[in-house]
Amino acid sequence: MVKALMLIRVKQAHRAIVQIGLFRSVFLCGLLFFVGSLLYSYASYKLYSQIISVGFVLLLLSIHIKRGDKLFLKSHFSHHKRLILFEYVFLSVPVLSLLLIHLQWLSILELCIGILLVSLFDITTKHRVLNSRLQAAIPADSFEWKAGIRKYFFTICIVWMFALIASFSIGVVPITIFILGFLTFSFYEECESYQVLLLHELNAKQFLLLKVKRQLILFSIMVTPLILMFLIFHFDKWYIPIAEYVIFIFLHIYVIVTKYAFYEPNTKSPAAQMFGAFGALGCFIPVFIPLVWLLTIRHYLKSIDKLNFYLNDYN
Amino acid sequence: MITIKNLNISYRKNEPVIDNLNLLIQDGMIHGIVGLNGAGKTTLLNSMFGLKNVDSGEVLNDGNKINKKSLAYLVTENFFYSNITGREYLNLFSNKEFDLEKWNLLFDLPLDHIIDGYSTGMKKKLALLGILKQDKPLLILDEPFNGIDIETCRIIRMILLRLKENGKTIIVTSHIIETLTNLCDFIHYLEKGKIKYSKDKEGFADFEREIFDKIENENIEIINQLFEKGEEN
Repeated sequence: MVKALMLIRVKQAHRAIVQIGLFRSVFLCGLLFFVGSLLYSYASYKLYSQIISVGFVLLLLSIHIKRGDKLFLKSHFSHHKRLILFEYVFLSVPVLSLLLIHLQWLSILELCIGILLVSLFDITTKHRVLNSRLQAAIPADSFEWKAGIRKYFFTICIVWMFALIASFSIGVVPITIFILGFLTFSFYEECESYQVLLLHELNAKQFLLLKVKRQLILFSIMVTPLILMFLIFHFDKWYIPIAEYVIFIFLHIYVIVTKYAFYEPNTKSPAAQMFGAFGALGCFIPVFIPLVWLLTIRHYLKSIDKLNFYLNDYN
Repeated sequence: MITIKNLNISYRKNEPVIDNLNLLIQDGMIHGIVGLNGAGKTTLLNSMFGLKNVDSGEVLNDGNKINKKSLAYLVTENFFYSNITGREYLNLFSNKEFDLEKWNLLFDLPLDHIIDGYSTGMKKKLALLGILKQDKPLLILDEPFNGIDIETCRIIRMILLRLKENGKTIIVTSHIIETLTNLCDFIHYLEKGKIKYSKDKEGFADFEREIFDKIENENIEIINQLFEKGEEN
Protein backbone atom coordinates (compact mmCIF):
# COMPACT_ATOMS: atom_id res chain seq x y z
CA MET A 1 0.00 0.00 0.00
CA VAL A 2 2.90 2.35 0.78
CA LYS A 3 4.34 1.59 -2.64
CA ALA A 4 0.96 2.33 -4.24
CA LEU A 5 0.79 5.64 -2.40
CA MET A 6 4.28 6.63 -3.53
CA LEU A 7 3.26 5.76 -7.08
CA ILE A 8 0.23 8.04 -6.73
CA ARG A 9 2.53 10.86 -5.55
CA VAL A 10 4.76 10.38 -8.60
CA LYS A 11 1.72 10.42 -10.88
CA GLN A 12 0.37 13.56 -9.14
CA ALA A 13 3.72 15.30 -9.68
CA HIS A 14 3.77 14.22 -13.32
CA ARG A 15 0.23 15.52 -13.90
CA ALA A 16 1.08 18.82 -12.24
CA ILE A 17 4.10 19.24 -14.54
CA VAL A 18 2.04 18.36 -17.60
CA GLN A 19 -0.62 20.86 -16.53
CA ILE A 20 1.97 23.64 -16.23
CA GLY A 21 3.04 23.16 -19.85
CA LEU A 22 6.44 23.07 -21.52
CA PHE A 23 7.10 26.81 -21.78
CA ARG A 24 6.13 27.51 -18.20
CA SER A 25 8.03 24.42 -16.98
CA VAL A 26 11.20 25.75 -18.60
CA PHE A 27 10.58 29.14 -17.03
CA LEU A 28 9.88 27.54 -13.66
CA CYS A 29 13.12 25.56 -13.92
CA GLY A 30 14.95 28.82 -14.61
CA LEU A 31 13.31 30.44 -11.61
CA LEU A 32 14.17 27.47 -9.39
CA PHE A 33 17.75 27.57 -10.65
CA PHE A 34 17.92 31.29 -9.84
CA VAL A 35 16.53 30.78 -6.32
CA GLY A 36 18.73 27.69 -5.87
CA SER A 37 21.91 29.56 -6.82
CA LEU A 38 20.94 32.42 -4.46
CA LEU A 39 20.41 29.94 -1.63
CA TYR A 40 23.65 28.19 -2.52
CA SER A 41 25.67 31.37 -2.17
CA TYR A 42 23.93 32.37 1.07
CA ALA A 43 24.20 28.88 2.58
CA SER A 44 27.95 29.35 2.93
CA TYR A 45 27.34 31.87 5.76
CA LYS A 46 26.48 30.37 9.12
CA LEU A 47 23.69 32.85 9.96
CA TYR A 48 22.00 32.61 6.54
CA SER A 49 22.24 28.81 6.53
CA GLN A 50 20.31 28.79 9.81
CA ILE A 51 17.73 31.18 8.35
CA ILE A 52 17.38 28.86 5.34
CA SER A 53 16.84 25.78 7.50
CA VAL A 54 14.35 27.52 9.82
CA GLY A 55 12.55 29.05 6.82
CA PHE A 56 12.28 25.64 5.18
CA VAL A 57 10.90 24.07 8.38
CA LEU A 58 8.30 26.86 8.61
CA LEU A 59 7.36 26.24 4.97
CA LEU A 60 6.94 22.52 5.71
CA LEU A 61 4.87 23.38 8.77
CA SER A 62 2.50 25.53 6.72
CA ILE A 63 2.16 22.73 4.13
CA HIS A 64 1.61 20.21 6.92
CA ILE A 65 -1.11 22.26 8.60
CA LYS A 66 -2.95 22.88 5.35
CA ARG A 67 -2.69 19.43 3.72
CA GLY A 68 -6.09 17.81 3.33
CA ASP A 69 -5.05 14.16 3.14
CA LYS A 70 -4.11 13.68 6.80
CA LEU A 71 -7.39 11.98 7.71
CA PHE A 72 -7.04 9.67 4.69
CA LEU A 73 -3.50 8.72 5.69
CA LYS A 74 -4.51 8.26 9.31
CA SER A 75 -7.41 5.97 8.47
CA HIS A 76 -5.63 3.90 5.81
CA PHE A 77 -2.05 3.53 7.10
CA SER A 78 -0.96 2.24 10.48
CA HIS A 79 2.35 4.15 10.31
CA HIS A 80 1.09 7.35 8.74
CA LYS A 81 3.51 9.58 10.64
CA ARG A 82 6.46 7.60 9.31
CA LEU A 83 5.05 8.05 5.83
CA ILE A 84 4.69 11.80 6.30
CA LEU A 85 8.26 11.94 7.67
CA PHE A 86 9.51 10.12 4.60
CA GLU A 87 7.73 12.57 2.30
CA TYR A 88 9.18 15.58 4.10
CA VAL A 89 12.69 14.14 4.11
CA PHE A 90 12.33 13.59 0.37
CA LEU A 91 11.14 17.19 -0.11
CA SER A 92 14.05 18.55 1.92
CA VAL A 93 16.77 16.76 -0.08
CA PRO A 94 17.72 19.89 -2.11
CA VAL A 95 18.05 22.07 1.01
CA LEU A 96 19.88 19.32 2.90
CA SER A 97 22.29 18.94 -0.01
CA LEU A 98 23.00 22.70 0.01
CA LEU A 99 23.78 22.64 3.69
CA LEU A 100 25.87 19.48 3.37
CA ILE A 101 28.00 21.02 0.61
CA HIS A 102 28.84 23.93 2.92
CA LEU A 103 29.22 21.62 5.95
CA GLN A 104 26.72 23.60 7.99
CA TRP A 105 26.23 20.88 10.60
CA LEU A 106 24.27 22.97 13.08
CA SER A 107 21.77 24.02 10.39
CA ILE A 108 21.49 20.39 9.24
CA LEU A 109 20.72 19.34 12.80
CA GLU A 110 18.10 22.09 13.11
CA LEU A 111 16.55 21.05 9.82
CA CYS A 112 16.42 17.36 10.80
CA ILE A 113 14.87 18.10 14.20
CA GLY A 114 12.41 20.49 12.53
CA ILE A 115 11.33 17.88 9.95
CA LEU A 116 10.87 15.28 12.69
CA LEU A 117 8.80 17.62 14.85
CA VAL A 118 6.64 18.77 11.94
CA SER A 119 5.82 15.19 10.92
CA LEU A 120 4.83 14.37 14.53
CA PHE A 121 2.76 17.53 14.81
CA ASP A 122 -0.92 16.56 14.44
CA ILE A 123 -2.93 19.69 13.91
CA THR A 124 -5.28 21.08 11.31
CA THR A 125 -6.50 24.63 10.90
CA LYS A 126 -9.90 25.49 12.19
CA HIS A 127 -12.10 27.73 10.12
CA ARG A 128 -11.83 31.10 11.74
CA VAL A 129 -14.99 33.12 11.91
CA LEU A 130 -13.93 36.68 11.94
CA ASN A 131 -16.49 39.31 11.17
CA SER A 132 -14.86 42.64 11.84
CA ARG A 133 -16.22 46.04 10.87
CA LEU A 134 -13.56 46.07 8.22
CA GLN A 135 -15.29 43.31 6.24
CA ALA A 136 -18.60 45.13 6.45
CA ALA A 137 -16.93 48.28 5.06
CA ILE A 138 -15.60 46.45 1.99
CA PRO A 139 -18.03 46.54 -0.98
CA ALA A 140 -20.16 43.38 -1.27
CA ASP A 141 -18.75 42.48 -4.70
CA SER A 142 -15.11 42.59 -3.51
CA PHE A 143 -15.29 39.10 -2.10
CA GLU A 144 -11.54 38.61 -2.67
CA TRP A 145 -10.83 41.42 -0.23
CA LYS A 146 -13.38 40.21 2.29
CA ALA A 147 -11.80 36.75 2.21
CA GLY A 148 -8.22 38.04 2.17
CA ILE A 149 -8.71 40.49 5.01
CA ARG A 150 -10.33 37.72 7.06
CA LYS A 151 -7.46 35.35 6.31
CA TYR A 152 -4.67 37.83 7.13
CA PHE A 153 -6.55 40.11 9.52
CA PHE A 154 -4.10 39.92 12.43
CA THR A 155 -0.99 40.08 10.24
CA ILE A 156 -2.32 43.09 8.35
CA CYS A 157 -3.44 44.88 11.54
CA ILE A 158 -0.17 44.31 13.37
CA VAL A 159 2.02 45.27 10.41
CA TRP A 160 -0.09 48.32 9.55
CA MET A 161 -0.27 49.64 13.12
CA PHE A 162 3.45 49.07 13.66
CA ALA A 163 4.25 50.92 10.43
CA LEU A 164 2.08 53.84 11.45
CA ILE A 165 3.72 54.12 14.87
CA ALA A 166 7.28 53.52 13.65
CA SER A 167 6.99 55.57 10.45
CA PHE A 168 9.68 57.99 11.73
CA SER A 169 12.16 55.22 10.83
CA ILE A 170 12.83 55.55 7.10
CA GLY A 171 12.64 51.87 6.14
CA VAL A 172 9.45 50.91 7.96
CA VAL A 173 6.81 52.34 5.61
CA PRO A 174 8.41 51.10 2.33
CA ILE A 175 8.83 47.60 3.83
CA THR A 176 5.22 47.61 5.06
CA ILE A 177 3.87 48.70 1.67
CA PHE A 178 5.92 45.89 0.20
CA ILE A 179 4.43 43.31 2.62
CA LEU A 180 0.86 44.59 2.15
CA GLY A 181 1.30 44.70 -1.63
CA PHE A 182 2.39 41.10 -1.62
CA LEU A 183 -0.38 39.96 0.70
CA THR A 184 -2.99 41.46 -1.61
CA PHE A 185 -1.46 39.51 -4.52
CA SER A 186 -2.61 36.35 -2.82
CA PHE A 187 -6.22 37.60 -2.66
CA TYR A 188 -6.47 36.78 -6.37
CA GLU A 189 -5.03 33.25 -6.30
CA GLU A 190 -8.37 31.47 -6.39
CA CYS A 191 -10.78 31.48 -9.33
CA GLU A 192 -14.38 32.04 -8.33
CA SER A 193 -17.26 29.95 -9.67
CA TYR A 194 -18.89 31.13 -12.88
CA GLN A 195 -22.08 31.94 -10.97
CA VAL A 196 -20.10 34.60 -9.13
CA LEU A 197 -18.54 35.73 -12.40
CA LEU A 198 -21.98 36.17 -13.95
CA LEU A 199 -23.69 37.93 -11.12
CA HIS A 200 -22.35 41.37 -12.06
CA GLU A 201 -24.11 41.01 -15.43
CA LEU A 202 -21.26 42.94 -17.07
CA ASN A 203 -19.38 42.20 -20.26
CA ALA A 204 -15.75 41.11 -20.15
CA LYS A 205 -14.26 44.63 -20.46
CA GLN A 206 -16.60 46.15 -17.91
CA PHE A 207 -15.99 43.25 -15.57
CA LEU A 208 -12.20 43.63 -15.69
CA LEU A 209 -12.48 47.38 -15.27
CA LEU A 210 -14.62 46.90 -12.16
CA LYS A 211 -12.12 44.43 -10.69
CA VAL A 212 -9.15 46.72 -11.33
CA LYS A 213 -11.02 49.78 -10.03
CA ARG A 214 -11.99 48.02 -6.79
CA GLN A 215 -8.44 46.77 -6.29
CA LEU A 216 -6.91 50.21 -6.81
CA ILE A 217 -9.36 51.92 -4.48
CA LEU A 218 -9.03 49.37 -1.68
CA PHE A 219 -5.24 49.13 -1.93
CA SER A 220 -4.97 52.93 -1.98
CA ILE A 221 -7.17 53.21 1.12
CA MET A 222 -4.89 50.72 2.86
CA VAL A 223 -1.54 52.36 2.04
CA THR A 224 -2.38 56.08 1.79
CA PRO A 225 -2.18 56.73 5.57
CA LEU A 226 1.24 55.04 5.61
CA ILE A 227 2.48 57.13 2.68
CA LEU A 228 1.23 60.31 4.38
CA MET A 229 3.07 59.40 7.58
CA PHE A 230 6.22 58.78 5.55
CA LEU A 231 5.89 62.17 3.88
CA ILE A 232 5.49 63.89 7.25
CA PHE A 233 8.78 62.46 8.55
CA HIS A 234 10.84 62.12 5.37
CA PHE A 235 9.46 64.58 2.85
CA ASP A 236 12.81 64.81 1.00
CA LYS A 237 12.48 61.09 0.11
CA TRP A 238 8.87 61.43 -1.13
CA TYR A 239 9.58 59.45 -4.32
CA ILE A 240 10.33 56.16 -2.47
CA PRO A 241 6.80 55.22 -1.30
CA ILE A 242 5.22 56.86 -4.36
CA ALA A 243 7.36 54.79 -6.73
CA GLU A 244 6.64 51.67 -4.69
CA TYR A 245 2.91 52.42 -4.72
CA VAL A 246 2.93 52.94 -8.50
CA ILE A 247 4.89 49.70 -9.07
CA PHE A 248 2.38 47.78 -6.96
CA ILE A 249 -0.55 49.34 -8.82
CA PHE A 250 0.94 48.01 -12.08
CA LEU A 251 1.59 44.63 -10.50
CA HIS A 252 -1.95 44.38 -9.13
CA ILE A 253 -3.42 45.14 -12.55
CA TYR A 254 -1.08 42.49 -13.95
CA VAL A 255 -2.16 39.94 -11.32
CA ILE A 256 -5.87 40.55 -12.01
CA VAL A 257 -5.62 40.25 -15.79
CA THR A 258 -3.38 37.19 -15.39
CA LYS A 259 -5.93 35.52 -13.13
CA TYR A 260 -8.69 35.95 -15.69
CA ALA A 261 -6.42 35.11 -18.64
CA PHE A 262 -6.05 31.64 -17.12
CA TYR A 263 -9.48 31.56 -15.49
CA GLU A 264 -10.86 28.09 -14.78
CA PRO A 265 -13.88 28.09 -12.47
CA ASN A 266 -13.29 26.81 -8.95
CA THR A 267 -9.54 26.31 -9.24
CA LYS A 268 -6.21 27.87 -8.46
CA SER A 269 -4.66 28.03 -11.90
CA PRO A 270 -0.99 26.89 -11.79
CA ALA A 271 -0.27 29.03 -14.84
CA ALA A 272 -1.69 32.16 -13.19
CA GLN A 273 0.29 31.42 -10.03
CA MET A 274 3.46 30.96 -12.02
CA PHE A 275 3.01 34.20 -13.96
CA GLY A 276 2.03 35.91 -10.69
CA ALA A 277 5.36 34.82 -9.20
CA PHE A 278 7.06 36.17 -12.30
CA GLY A 279 5.33 39.52 -11.78
CA ALA A 280 6.43 39.49 -8.17
CA LEU A 281 10.01 39.34 -9.38
CA GLY A 282 9.42 42.81 -10.76
CA CYS A 283 9.47 44.07 -7.16
CA PHE A 284 12.99 42.74 -6.65
CA ILE A 285 14.45 43.21 -10.11
CA PRO A 286 13.12 46.42 -11.70
CA VAL A 287 14.27 45.31 -15.16
CA PHE A 288 11.30 42.93 -15.13
CA ILE A 289 8.80 45.80 -14.91
CA PRO A 290 8.67 46.57 -18.67
CA LEU A 291 8.18 42.86 -19.29
CA VAL A 292 5.31 42.91 -16.79
CA TRP A 293 3.74 45.77 -18.78
CA LEU A 294 3.98 43.78 -22.00
CA LEU A 295 2.55 40.71 -20.32
CA THR A 296 -0.25 42.83 -18.84
CA ILE A 297 -1.34 43.82 -22.36
CA ARG A 298 -1.07 40.23 -23.60
CA HIS A 299 -2.97 38.82 -20.62
CA TYR A 300 -5.59 41.55 -20.86
CA LEU A 301 -6.42 40.47 -24.42
CA LYS A 302 -6.34 36.84 -23.38
CA SER A 303 -8.60 37.46 -20.40
CA ILE A 304 -11.15 39.28 -22.58
CA ASP A 305 -11.17 36.24 -24.82
CA LYS A 306 -11.50 33.86 -21.89
CA LEU A 307 -14.22 35.84 -20.11
CA ASN A 308 -16.22 36.30 -23.31
CA PHE A 309 -17.05 32.59 -23.21
CA TYR A 310 -18.92 33.15 -19.94
CA LEU A 311 -20.03 36.76 -20.29
CA ASN A 312 -20.95 36.93 -24.00
CA ASP A 313 -24.64 37.34 -23.17
CA TYR A 314 -23.88 40.71 -21.55
CA ASN A 315 -22.13 42.20 -24.57
CA MET B 1 -41.07 27.72 -24.43
CA ILE B 2 -37.59 26.28 -24.61
CA THR B 3 -36.86 24.35 -27.77
CA ILE B 4 -33.85 22.13 -28.14
CA LYS B 5 -33.30 21.27 -31.79
CA ASN B 6 -30.99 18.55 -33.14
CA LEU B 7 -28.43 19.10 -30.40
CA ASN B 8 -25.12 17.30 -30.80
CA ILE B 9 -22.27 17.48 -28.31
CA SER B 10 -19.19 15.31 -28.13
CA TYR B 11 -16.01 15.40 -26.10
CA ARG B 12 -14.18 13.11 -28.53
CA LYS B 13 -14.63 12.51 -32.23
CA ASN B 14 -17.37 9.97 -33.04
CA GLU B 15 -18.29 9.66 -29.35
CA PRO B 16 -21.38 11.84 -28.94
CA VAL B 17 -22.51 12.57 -25.40
CA ILE B 18 -25.62 14.30 -26.69
CA ASP B 19 -26.80 12.70 -29.88
CA ASN B 20 -29.22 14.67 -32.05
CA LEU B 21 -31.39 15.51 -29.06
CA ASN B 22 -34.77 17.20 -29.47
CA LEU B 23 -36.86 18.44 -26.59
CA LEU B 24 -39.66 20.92 -25.92
CA ILE B 25 -39.91 22.46 -22.48
CA GLN B 26 -43.17 24.23 -21.74
CA ASP B 27 -43.15 27.42 -19.70
CA GLY B 28 -44.48 27.53 -16.17
CA MET B 29 -43.96 23.81 -15.56
CA ILE B 30 -41.54 21.63 -13.67
CA HIS B 31 -39.60 19.30 -15.94
CA GLY B 32 -37.56 16.41 -14.61
CA ILE B 33 -34.64 14.96 -16.51
CA VAL B 34 -33.71 11.43 -15.56
CA GLY B 35 -30.95 9.22 -16.78
CA LEU B 36 -28.34 6.83 -15.50
CA ASN B 37 -24.81 8.02 -14.77
CA GLY B 38 -23.13 9.09 -18.00
CA ALA B 39 -26.41 9.54 -19.86
CA GLY B 40 -25.52 13.18 -20.58
CA LYS B 41 -27.71 15.07 -18.09
CA THR B 42 -25.08 17.51 -16.86
CA THR B 43 -23.71 18.03 -20.38
CA LEU B 44 -27.22 18.86 -21.57
CA LEU B 45 -27.75 21.34 -18.73
CA ASN B 46 -24.31 22.91 -19.26
CA SER B 47 -25.05 23.41 -22.94
CA MET B 48 -28.41 24.99 -22.11
CA PHE B 49 -26.64 27.43 -19.82
CA GLY B 50 -23.93 28.12 -22.41
CA LEU B 51 -21.09 26.48 -20.51
CA LYS B 52 -20.53 23.81 -23.13
CA ASN B 53 -19.91 24.48 -26.78
CA VAL B 54 -22.23 22.50 -29.00
CA ASP B 55 -21.14 20.73 -32.17
CA SER B 56 -24.46 21.47 -33.88
CA GLY B 57 -28.06 22.26 -33.06
CA GLU B 58 -29.53 25.03 -30.97
CA VAL B 59 -31.26 25.86 -27.72
CA LEU B 60 -33.93 28.51 -28.13
CA ASN B 61 -36.07 30.37 -25.63
CA ASP B 62 -39.26 31.65 -27.31
CA GLY B 63 -37.50 31.48 -30.66
CA ASN B 64 -34.41 33.42 -29.53
CA LYS B 65 -31.03 32.08 -28.55
CA ILE B 66 -31.11 31.25 -24.85
CA ASN B 67 -29.56 33.96 -22.68
CA LYS B 68 -27.92 33.75 -19.28
CA LYS B 69 -29.81 36.88 -18.23
CA SER B 70 -33.00 34.84 -17.86
CA LEU B 71 -31.40 31.73 -16.33
CA ALA B 72 -30.25 30.60 -12.93
CA TYR B 73 -28.26 27.38 -12.75
CA LEU B 74 -27.63 25.29 -9.65
CA VAL B 75 -24.76 22.92 -10.33
CA THR B 76 -24.30 19.51 -8.70
CA GLU B 77 -21.02 20.28 -6.99
CA ASN B 78 -21.19 23.68 -5.39
CA PHE B 79 -18.01 25.67 -5.06
CA PHE B 80 -17.62 28.67 -2.86
CA TYR B 81 -14.73 31.10 -2.58
CA SER B 82 -12.83 30.29 0.61
CA ASN B 83 -12.88 32.52 3.68
CA ILE B 84 -16.18 34.22 2.98
CA THR B 85 -19.33 33.85 5.06
CA GLY B 86 -22.70 32.62 3.83
CA ARG B 87 -24.10 36.14 4.21
CA GLU B 88 -21.25 37.65 2.18
CA TYR B 89 -21.87 35.09 -0.56
CA LEU B 90 -25.57 35.89 -0.72
CA ASN B 91 -24.90 39.63 -0.61
CA LEU B 92 -23.10 39.23 -3.93
CA PHE B 93 -26.51 38.80 -5.56
CA SER B 94 -28.38 42.06 -5.65
CA ASN B 95 -32.09 41.71 -4.95
CA LYS B 96 -33.45 44.17 -2.42
CA GLU B 97 -36.80 42.42 -2.20
CA PHE B 98 -35.23 39.19 -1.03
CA ASP B 99 -35.75 38.88 2.73
CA LEU B 100 -32.76 36.77 3.64
CA GLU B 101 -33.58 36.39 7.33
CA LYS B 102 -37.06 35.12 6.54
CA TRP B 103 -35.84 32.71 3.88
CA ASN B 104 -33.20 31.43 6.25
CA LEU B 105 -35.89 30.45 8.75
CA LEU B 106 -36.51 27.57 6.37
CA PHE B 107 -32.88 26.47 6.10
CA ASP B 108 -31.40 27.58 9.42
CA LEU B 109 -27.94 28.29 8.02
CA PRO B 110 -25.22 29.91 10.16
CA LEU B 111 -24.91 32.80 7.73
CA ASP B 112 -22.17 34.61 9.63
CA HIS B 113 -19.86 31.58 9.65
CA ILE B 114 -17.41 31.03 6.83
CA ILE B 115 -18.64 28.58 4.19
CA ASP B 116 -15.52 26.39 4.38
CA GLY B 117 -16.91 24.88 7.58
CA TYR B 118 -20.37 24.12 6.15
CA SER B 119 -21.51 20.53 5.60
CA THR B 120 -22.41 19.30 2.08
CA GLY B 121 -26.10 19.80 2.79
CA MET B 122 -25.57 23.31 4.14
CA LYS B 123 -23.58 24.26 1.04
CA LYS B 124 -26.38 22.95 -1.13
CA LYS B 125 -28.94 25.02 0.81
CA LEU B 126 -26.75 28.12 0.53
CA ALA B 127 -26.34 27.64 -3.22
CA LEU B 128 -30.10 27.22 -3.52
CA LEU B 129 -30.69 30.44 -1.58
CA GLY B 130 -28.36 32.14 -4.06
CA ILE B 131 -30.44 30.79 -6.95
CA LEU B 132 -33.67 31.91 -5.31
CA LYS B 133 -32.26 35.37 -4.66
CA GLN B 134 -31.42 35.76 -8.35
CA ASP B 135 -35.15 35.47 -9.09
CA LYS B 136 -34.75 34.43 -12.75
CA PRO B 137 -37.71 33.16 -14.83
CA LEU B 138 -35.97 29.88 -15.71
CA LEU B 139 -34.27 27.71 -13.11
CA ILE B 140 -32.02 24.79 -13.94
CA LEU B 141 -31.35 22.65 -10.90
CA ASP B 142 -28.86 19.81 -11.25
CA GLU B 143 -29.36 17.36 -8.39
CA PRO B 144 -30.84 19.82 -5.88
CA PHE B 145 -31.75 17.00 -3.49
CA ASN B 146 -28.22 15.58 -3.22
CA GLY B 147 -26.84 15.47 0.30
CA ILE B 148 -29.75 17.09 2.09
CA ASP B 149 -32.06 15.75 4.80
CA ILE B 150 -35.70 14.69 4.43
CA GLU B 151 -37.04 17.91 5.93
CA THR B 152 -35.10 20.12 3.53
CA CYS B 153 -36.09 17.88 0.60
CA ARG B 154 -39.69 18.51 1.47
CA ILE B 155 -39.13 22.24 1.96
CA ILE B 156 -37.40 22.50 -1.43
CA ARG B 157 -40.30 20.65 -3.03
CA MET B 158 -42.76 23.13 -1.47
CA ILE B 159 -40.66 26.08 -2.68
CA LEU B 160 -40.39 24.73 -6.22
CA LEU B 161 -44.15 24.17 -6.42
CA ARG B 162 -44.73 27.76 -5.28
CA LEU B 163 -42.24 29.05 -7.84
CA LYS B 164 -44.12 27.15 -10.52
CA GLU B 165 -47.36 28.79 -9.37
CA ASN B 166 -45.56 32.13 -9.79
CA GLY B 167 -44.89 31.29 -13.43
CA LYS B 168 -41.29 30.07 -13.23
CA THR B 169 -40.09 27.29 -15.49
CA ILE B 170 -37.99 24.73 -13.65
CA ILE B 171 -35.76 21.99 -15.00
CA VAL B 172 -34.56 19.57 -12.37
CA THR B 173 -32.49 16.39 -12.35
CA SER B 174 -32.32 13.82 -9.60
CA HIS B 175 -31.08 10.30 -9.03
CA ILE B 176 -33.96 9.69 -6.66
CA ILE B 177 -36.91 9.09 -8.97
CA GLU B 178 -39.47 9.53 -6.18
CA THR B 179 -38.36 13.14 -5.67
CA LEU B 180 -39.20 13.85 -9.31
CA THR B 181 -42.47 11.91 -9.58
CA ASN B 182 -43.72 13.85 -6.54
CA LEU B 183 -42.77 17.16 -8.03
CA CYS B 184 -42.65 17.30 -11.81
CA ASP B 185 -45.27 17.88 -14.47
CA PHE B 186 -43.16 16.10 -17.06
CA ILE B 187 -40.28 13.66 -16.82
CA HIS B 188 -37.90 13.18 -19.75
CA TYR B 189 -35.80 10.05 -19.82
CA LEU B 190 -32.32 10.57 -21.23
CA GLU B 191 -30.44 7.56 -22.50
CA LYS B 192 -27.17 7.59 -24.46
CA GLY B 193 -27.53 11.27 -25.26
CA LYS B 194 -31.12 11.08 -26.53
CA ILE B 195 -34.50 11.70 -24.95
CA LYS B 196 -35.88 8.18 -25.11
CA TYR B 197 -39.33 9.23 -23.98
CA SER B 198 -41.20 11.94 -22.10
CA LYS B 199 -44.05 11.22 -19.71
CA ASP B 200 -46.64 13.41 -18.10
CA LYS B 201 -48.05 12.82 -14.60
CA GLU B 202 -50.37 10.05 -15.75
CA GLY B 203 -47.46 8.06 -17.10
CA PHE B 204 -45.20 8.38 -14.04
CA ALA B 205 -46.22 5.06 -12.46
CA ASP B 206 -45.51 3.16 -15.69
CA PHE B 207 -42.28 5.10 -16.09
CA GLU B 208 -41.07 4.16 -12.62
CA ARG B 209 -41.91 0.51 -13.16
CA GLU B 210 -40.22 0.45 -16.58
CA ILE B 211 -37.04 2.02 -15.22
CA PHE B 212 -36.76 -0.28 -12.22
CA ASP B 213 -37.57 -3.37 -14.32
CA LYS B 214 -34.95 -2.38 -16.87
CA ILE B 215 -32.26 -1.87 -14.22
CA GLU B 216 -33.10 -5.14 -12.49
CA ASN B 217 -33.20 -7.14 -15.72
CA GLU B 218 -29.85 -5.75 -16.82
CA ASN B 219 -28.12 -6.63 -13.56
CA ILE B 220 -29.88 -9.65 -12.11
CA GLU B 221 -27.67 -12.18 -13.86
CA ILE B 222 -24.40 -10.71 -12.57
CA ILE B 223 -25.78 -10.38 -9.04
CA ASN B 224 -26.97 -13.99 -9.14
CA GLN B 225 -23.57 -15.14 -10.33
CA LEU B 226 -21.78 -13.16 -7.61
CA PHE B 227 -23.95 -14.54 -4.83
CA GLU B 228 -23.91 -18.10 -6.13
CA LYS B 229 -20.12 -17.89 -6.13
CA GLY B 230 -20.16 -16.55 -2.57
CA GLU B 231 -22.44 -19.34 -1.38
CA GLU B 232 -20.25 -21.99 -3.07
CA ASN B 233 -17.19 -20.64 -1.22
